[in-house]
Amino acid sequence: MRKVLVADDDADIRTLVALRLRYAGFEVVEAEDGEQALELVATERPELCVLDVTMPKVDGFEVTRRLRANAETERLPVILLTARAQSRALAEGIAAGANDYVPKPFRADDLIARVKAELEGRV
Amino acid sequence: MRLIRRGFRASDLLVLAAALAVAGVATVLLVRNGNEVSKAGTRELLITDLLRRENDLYDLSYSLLNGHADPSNVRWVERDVAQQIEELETHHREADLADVFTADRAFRQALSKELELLEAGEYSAALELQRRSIFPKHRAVSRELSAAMSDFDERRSTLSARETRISIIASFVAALGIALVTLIASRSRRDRAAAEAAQLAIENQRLRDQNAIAELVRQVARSAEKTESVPRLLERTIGLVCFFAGWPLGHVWLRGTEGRLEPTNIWHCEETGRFRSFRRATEDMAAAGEEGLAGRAARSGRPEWLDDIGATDLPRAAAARAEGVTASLAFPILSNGEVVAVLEMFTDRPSPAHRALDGIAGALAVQLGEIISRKAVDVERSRLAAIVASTDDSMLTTTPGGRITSWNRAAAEHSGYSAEEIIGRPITVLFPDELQREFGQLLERLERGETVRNFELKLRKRSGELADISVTVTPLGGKRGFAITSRDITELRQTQMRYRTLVEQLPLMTYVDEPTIDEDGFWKSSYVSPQIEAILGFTPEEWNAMPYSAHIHEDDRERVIAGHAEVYSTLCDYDDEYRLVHKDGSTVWVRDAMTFVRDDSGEALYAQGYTVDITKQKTYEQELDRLLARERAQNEELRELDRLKDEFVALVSHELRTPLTSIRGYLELVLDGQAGKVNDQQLQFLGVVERNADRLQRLVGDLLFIAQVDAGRLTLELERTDAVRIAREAIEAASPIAADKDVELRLDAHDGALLVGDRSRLAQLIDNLVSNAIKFTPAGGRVLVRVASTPTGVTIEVADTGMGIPADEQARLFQRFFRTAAASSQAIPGTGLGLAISKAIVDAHEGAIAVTSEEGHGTTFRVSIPTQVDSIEVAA
Repeated sequence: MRKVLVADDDADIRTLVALRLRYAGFEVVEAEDGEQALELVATERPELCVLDVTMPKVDGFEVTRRLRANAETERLPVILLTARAQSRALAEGIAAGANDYVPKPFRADDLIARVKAELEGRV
Repeated sequence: MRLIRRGFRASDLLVLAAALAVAGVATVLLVRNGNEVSKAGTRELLITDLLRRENDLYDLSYSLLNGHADPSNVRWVERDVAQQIEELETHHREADLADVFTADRAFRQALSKELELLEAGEYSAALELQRRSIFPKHRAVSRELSAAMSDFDERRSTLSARETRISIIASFVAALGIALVTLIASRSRRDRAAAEAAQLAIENQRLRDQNAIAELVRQVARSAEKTESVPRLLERTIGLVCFFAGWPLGHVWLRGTEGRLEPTNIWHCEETGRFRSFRRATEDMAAAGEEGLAGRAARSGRPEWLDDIGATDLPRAAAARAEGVTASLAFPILSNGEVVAVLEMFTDRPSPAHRALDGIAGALAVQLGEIISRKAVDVERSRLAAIVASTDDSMLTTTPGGRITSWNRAAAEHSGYSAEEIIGRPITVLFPDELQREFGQLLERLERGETVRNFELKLRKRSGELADISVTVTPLGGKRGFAITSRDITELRQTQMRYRTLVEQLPLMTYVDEPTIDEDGFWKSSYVSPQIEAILGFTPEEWNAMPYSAHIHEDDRERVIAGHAEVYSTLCDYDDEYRLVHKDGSTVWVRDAMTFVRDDSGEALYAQGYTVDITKQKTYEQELDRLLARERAQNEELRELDRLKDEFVALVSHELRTPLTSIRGYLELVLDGQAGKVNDQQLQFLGVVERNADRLQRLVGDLLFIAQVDAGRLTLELERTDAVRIAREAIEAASPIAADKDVELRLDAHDGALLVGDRSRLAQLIDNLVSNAIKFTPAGGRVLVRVASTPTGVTIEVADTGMGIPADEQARLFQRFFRTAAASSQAIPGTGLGLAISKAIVDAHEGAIAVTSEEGHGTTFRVSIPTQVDSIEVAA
C-alpha cells in the first residue's frame, strides 16, 4: 500500500481526507501541523503529501519549500489544499514547488484522481 | 694779405723812383690809378655787404625755425632765403665777381648734396664727396678768393708799374712839386684803400666761416625736422659735425633716467673698425663720465677742448695713446638751461684751427637744445591736436567771460554751428533762456575755481532742437578761461528713460547695490525702484534709511546674511526665497535674485537684482503642501484599508470555505453510502442540506469575485475561444432547471463566433444571464440565447418572456446587491451580485452590456465583446 501524508490543522477536514484516501486504498499518515508533517516525512517516508496551506507553526508553502530544499525529499510529490482561492496563493504554491493545487471545498473524487495522477506520473 | 702788402711796397719804390722824374703826365695817370684802387675797395665793400646780408638771412632763417613749429613755414622761409641768396649771387655776377661766388655756390651745392646722401644713409658716397670738399674745400674757396684778390692786386701793381714806367718816360715835363703833392695824396688814398681791403678780407673770411657754420646748423635743423627721436637726431648731428670738420670719430653722451650723464652706443666713425679700444673704453666709463671730458663740458655748460687727450690723466688717456687719438672737443647740448646731452669728437690728425669748431659747437649747443625741447612740445602738441580733432566729444575753450575761443570738429557736428560762426560769440547762445539759471549755477561753481564734472544740462542746437548734454569744465591756468568738453547724452537719456519706465512698470521691485557694505555686510542700495512701496509699504528712501538686515524676518536673517556673504565673495548669482517685514509689520515672502556686473578684469562694479512678492504663491504652496500631506495620509489610510480588506477577504475565503468543505465533504460521504445505508427520506433531507451548502458556496464565490474586482485583481486568462460553444455548454447545464420550471430554453446561433477572451469568465457571464432569465420567466415562457459574429466582435443576447423590469429600476440593475422590487416581493432567490459580476466580466473584456425591457413582456440583455482584448490584465 502506498503511503500518503495528510497535514491539516482542521481535524474534521484532515479526518475526511484521510478517510477518503483510505477508502481509495492508500495508507495514510496524519499530521496536525507543518512541523509534525516534516517530522513524519522523515520518519514515515510517505510517497506523497497532501498539505493544507494555512497551518500553525509552519504553513503548507514553507513545508513544501523545506521538502524541496532537502535532497532526499526534493522530488516528493506535494498537493496543496487551500481555501484561499486567489490566484496569488496559487502562484505562491507553484513557486514553493508544489505539484498540484486543490481549492477547498473540493470533491473527494477530484482529490483522489489528482493523488493517483501524481503517483502514477512518478512511476 | 702778405702778397697785397708786398705789392704795395714794390709800388712804393717805383713811385719813389718816379718822383725823381718828370711827373706831368703822371698826374692824369695817377688819377686814373687812384680810380682803379677806389674801384677795388668798392668791390670788397660790396662783397662784405652781400655776405652780411646772407648772414642776416641765415639768422632770419633760425629765428623762423625756432619760432615756428609748422614745417611748411620753415620750407617757405628756406625758399625765401634760397631765392634771396640767388638774388645776391646775381648781384655778385653783376659786380663782376662771379668766379668767386660760383666757387662758393659750388661748395654749398656740394654740401647740400652730401647732406642729402647722409640723410639717405649713403655714407660711403658722402665720404667720397667729403674727400673732395667739405671744410678743406671751404678753405680752398677762401684761398681761391684770396688768390683772386691778390691776382687782382698784382694786376693792379702791374698796372701801377706800367703806369709808372710810362710816367718816367713822360715825366721830365712834370714838376716835382706837383708830383710830390700828387704822390702824397695818391699814397695816403692807396694806403687807406689797402688797409680797408685787408680789413674787409679778414671780415669776409670771418663771415664766410660764420655762414658755413650757419649752413651746417641749418642742415642740422632741417634734419631735426625730419627726425622723430632725439637719439637719432643726435646721431645725425654728430655725423654731420664730424663730416663737416673732417674729424674721424664722434660720440654722444645722454642724461640717463637717474639724471646722470651716461655714454651711449651712438657713434660716428669714419671707418668701421677703427678706434675700437678707445670706443670700448668710452662705453665702459659709464658713471665715471662725470670725471672725463664730457663731464667737464656738462658741468661748465661750454665746449671743452683738449689738444691731446693722451697727454692727460683722464679715464680714456691710455686708450687714446694706444690708438693715436689726440685733439678732443666736447660740447654740451642745453635744453631749457640744462645739459641734456654732450657731443664729443676726436681726431688723430693734426688739429686744425678750432675757432670754427668752437663756433659750430656753440651754435649747435643752442640750436639742438631748442630743437629737442621744441620736439618734445611738438610731439605732445600734435598728439593733443589729433585727439581734439578726432574725438567724438565736443571740445571748446572760452575766455574768462565765456566767449568761445576754440571749437573742435565734434562740437561743430553736434551743435550745427561751424567754428567760423561760433568763435568769438558768448557761450550762452548755446543755452535756452529757460535754462540760463542752471547754466548760472554752473558758472558760480566755476568762479569758485572748481572743476565741474559731468554737469548735465540742455543745449540748444543751431536748428533750435534741444539736446541733453553732460559737460566737464576745467579752468585754464592763469585765469585764461575755460576748457569745456561736452557729450551728447540725449539718446542715453531717452534710453535710460525707456528702461526706467519699463523697469518701474514691472510687477516687482528692482535694485542696484554698490560694493560698500553696511554693518551686517550687505552692499548698500544706490537704487530701489518705487514698486517697493506697493510690496513692502516703504518708500525707497525710507527703505534705504534702515540697514537691510532690519527688513529681514528674524527667522530668515541669519541664512540671508550668510547667503549674501557667500555670493559677495564668489560673485555667483544669488537666488533665494525669504521673508521680509512689511512697514505694517506683516510678513512678505519674496524671491530675491541678484547678479553681479563686472568690469573687464572681473572685478565687481555693482550688483543688480529684483525682488518679487511671492507671498501668494507661498500661501498656495503651503496650502498645496498641506493638501498633499492630507492626501498622502488619506492614501496611506486607503492603502491600509485595502490591506485590511485583502486580509478580510482572505479570512472570509478561508473561514467560510473551511466549514463548507467539511459540510460538503461529510455530506458527500453519507450520500455516497460510505457511512452506511441512507433511507429515502434521509436522502431527501440531505439533498436540502446539499442544495443550501451549494448556495452558500456560490455566495462565497460571488463575494470573493466582487472583492477581487474591487481590488483590481480580476485576472483574465485570455485564449482564442468560441462564444457559441460556451453558450451551448451553459444552456446544456441550465436545461434541467429550465425543464423543471417548464421554460423553453433555446440557442440561436449559426456558425462559431470566435474571440479572444477568458473562457471560464465568459461561461460564468452567460450562466448568470441564462439562470437569471429562467428565474424571472414564468412557466410556459421562453428563454432565447442568440450568439452572432459582427465585424468588430461578438454579440450575445439573452431574451426572456418574463415579467420585465420597470424603467426606473433598469439604471440600477448592475449595482451590486440591487434587487428589483418584484424579485424581493416574490421571494425569488438571489444575492443581487449576478449582474454586477456580469458587468465586471464584460468590462474586463472591454465590451458593453445593455438591457431592454418591457414590463410584463420580457427582458433582453445584450452583451458585445470586441474580437481582440488588448490587455491581459484589466482593472474592472
